[in-house]
Amino acid sequence: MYLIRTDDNVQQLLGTAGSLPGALEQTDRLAAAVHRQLERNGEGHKAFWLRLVVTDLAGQDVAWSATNGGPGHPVDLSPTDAPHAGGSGGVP
Amino acid sequence: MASHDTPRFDVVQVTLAVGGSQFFALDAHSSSAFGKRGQVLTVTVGSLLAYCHDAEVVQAYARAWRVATDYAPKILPAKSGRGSGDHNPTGLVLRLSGTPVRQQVNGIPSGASPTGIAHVRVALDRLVVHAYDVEAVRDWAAGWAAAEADALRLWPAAEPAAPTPARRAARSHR
Repeated sequence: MYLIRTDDNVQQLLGTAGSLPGALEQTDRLAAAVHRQLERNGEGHKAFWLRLVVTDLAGQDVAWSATNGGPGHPVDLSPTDAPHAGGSGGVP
Repeated sequence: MASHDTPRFDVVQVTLAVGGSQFFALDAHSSSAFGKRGQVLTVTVGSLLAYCHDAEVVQAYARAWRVATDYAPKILPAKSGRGSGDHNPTGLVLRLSGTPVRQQVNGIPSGASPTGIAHVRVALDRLVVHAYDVEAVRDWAAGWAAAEADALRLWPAAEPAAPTPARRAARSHR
């Protein structure tokens, strides 16, 4: 079992996964959800890095993920992390 | 006379694997290529040659590689030996402009890597770079940081982006 939390002082638990590759896929989905929420809140123009960390049950950090929606372009990564054609896709 | 259709391919993703010391060079010049005259910042780092047409894309690359430098020491060896023996590596030329839609950095340990080898993955739109040691990550980060400084001199209207804490976004996810 792996835990996914924010990589900051809050260390908010956002999800769990049964495998390490699955946890990294989960970080992609969580990041996309956060960026979509920002867009709905009218804050999609703000560029920032959302940093997530995957820890094992012992609390050791084992993998990291950072995504940046970019100003006006929220990230929408599919669960399979399908590549985007340049300049297209990605915007809900 | 028979016509010969030329097959067309759309490149949706290019992946570079990098390791070891990375060559770096910058050149700013004026160009009329691609329809209109303007300044172009040419960034050569490792096997990539990028023609950058505005500061936004250079800043995005510099930011992403700064994030990568945070992750690299946690999972990568100082030197991997990868890439050091190839004196004629395949090169890649890209024309870049605007803020990439997709910006993602992952620190991927061996247990989560399809190849079983830990790496830091930096993805900006179509270009995905897998870096296998700290030395390569630091060279790419230093290269793009220098390019960012030049870009802000070349296109002074662009402002350095202020980072926004991820905490705020995470809270809005509730």
